[in-house]
Amino acid sequence: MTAPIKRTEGYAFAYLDEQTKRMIRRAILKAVAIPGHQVPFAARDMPMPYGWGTGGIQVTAAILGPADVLKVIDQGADDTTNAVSIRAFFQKTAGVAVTTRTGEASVIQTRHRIPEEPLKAGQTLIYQVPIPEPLRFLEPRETETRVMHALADYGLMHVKLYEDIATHGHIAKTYAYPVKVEGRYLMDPSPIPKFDNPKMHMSPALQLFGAGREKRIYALPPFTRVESLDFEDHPFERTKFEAPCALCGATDAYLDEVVIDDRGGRMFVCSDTDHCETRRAEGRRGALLGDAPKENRP
Amino acid sequence: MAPTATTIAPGFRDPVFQSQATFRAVLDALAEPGTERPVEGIATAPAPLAPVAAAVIATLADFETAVWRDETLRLPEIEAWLAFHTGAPVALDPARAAFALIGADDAPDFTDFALGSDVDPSTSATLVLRVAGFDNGRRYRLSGPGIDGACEVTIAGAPTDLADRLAANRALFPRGVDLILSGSTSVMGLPRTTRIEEIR
Ligand SMILES: [Zn+2]
Repeated sequence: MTAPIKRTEGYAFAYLDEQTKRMIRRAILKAVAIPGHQVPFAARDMPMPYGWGTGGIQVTAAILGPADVLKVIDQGADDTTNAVSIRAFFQKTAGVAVTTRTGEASVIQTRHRIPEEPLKAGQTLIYQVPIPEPLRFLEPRETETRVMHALADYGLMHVKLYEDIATHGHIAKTYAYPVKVEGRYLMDPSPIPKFDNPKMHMSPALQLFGAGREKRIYALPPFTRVESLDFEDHPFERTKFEAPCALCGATDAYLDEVVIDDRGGRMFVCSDTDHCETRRAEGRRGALLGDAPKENRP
Repeated sequence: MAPTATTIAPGFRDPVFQSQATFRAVLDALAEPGTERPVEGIATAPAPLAPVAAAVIATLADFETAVWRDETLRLPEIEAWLAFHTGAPVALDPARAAFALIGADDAPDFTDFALGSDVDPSTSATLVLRVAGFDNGRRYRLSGPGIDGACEVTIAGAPTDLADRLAANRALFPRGVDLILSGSTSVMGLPRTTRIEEIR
């Protein structure tokens, strides 16, 4: 953990002015009161382009306080350009302590992953959301999708998923796999792998979702029922990996395929870098490490 | 004599950080209904505006959100304090208020307030209900999102028909009001999703 630093003079705390924070805070409270419902808010321009997760950044800026410890991940990694920039932004404007350790963080901003280490009560996970509307690819008109949510009319999504099964023998979606919240609202979990979907269900942590370009905030309070859409004869299945992580040997983590040489060699490693590093620090060894136990080696 | 800026009592000593701390308490309260969240009230707020309720409204209200207040709070000092520290317009019609400051006595029917629409239920009112505290009162069992199974709470000084009011509110879901109960040193949230049953 890196201790709080003196924030740079000349910025409002956490960059946003107080009126903007109040407006975002009000939207967050309503989002929490109506789990899975997309609450409109007047998103502000942030000093970075939309693809950088301005929705998540605004939510983080609105909740962050001097006692928080912030972690920022991008596809599971703390060290990508995007994650490093956002972390530096909040160090500079809010002076907060930062960490890469999931267990030490009070606020975690994420793009496209949920950490492997189970989240705890008191932690808040903030997702950067590109497209908040799960029905968008089926119905481009916002006026129509809002009525569908109002009526809980999600037949179109079920038809689409069933067509998938007819065509491919299974539901083709592996990312942004739609969920039903408390049996009421259909929700886009943002482009996390469907592997992560079960982690949202009854999580002790608070989960907030911010979409900057589309100006929507939605939320899952702790201990909220979150079910991945499926059918009785085609139940939801979590992605499984054929081999353990090549570095730490994890068999229950989401793995990324990494090319390791120019002869087409590849390996599978944890996408959650903190999880992988923690396991290695604990002495766990995957096949690719020289000191791996014999049974782990290829 | 109408109060002037020089006679208006102070609000937050440190607005940025105190409003952030109050917001997090309210957020945690609504995210985990039934839990008591400490709030440092604004002791200088003019009575009978309770310090914790004053902190909540100073944190959340501004010129974009009309505030309705019950009879007991319609005093020039309080009107001036709210106007100065929040800039929020006065709502005379409860249906037009984003926030309401209410007490147990003569609390309007919750359906008098904005309930939101089916298309956007988030436009409903948030009611800041002042209560005596969270011990030595009526007991309730709560369940719903934010609660691991069920929990039991004690609320002193809430409307005697609170459970019936909230059951009627719950039946409107996804429409409905959300409650922030403000006690003497803490808040408790009762969002529209919470199922409540009085333990007799
Ligand atoms: Zn690993």
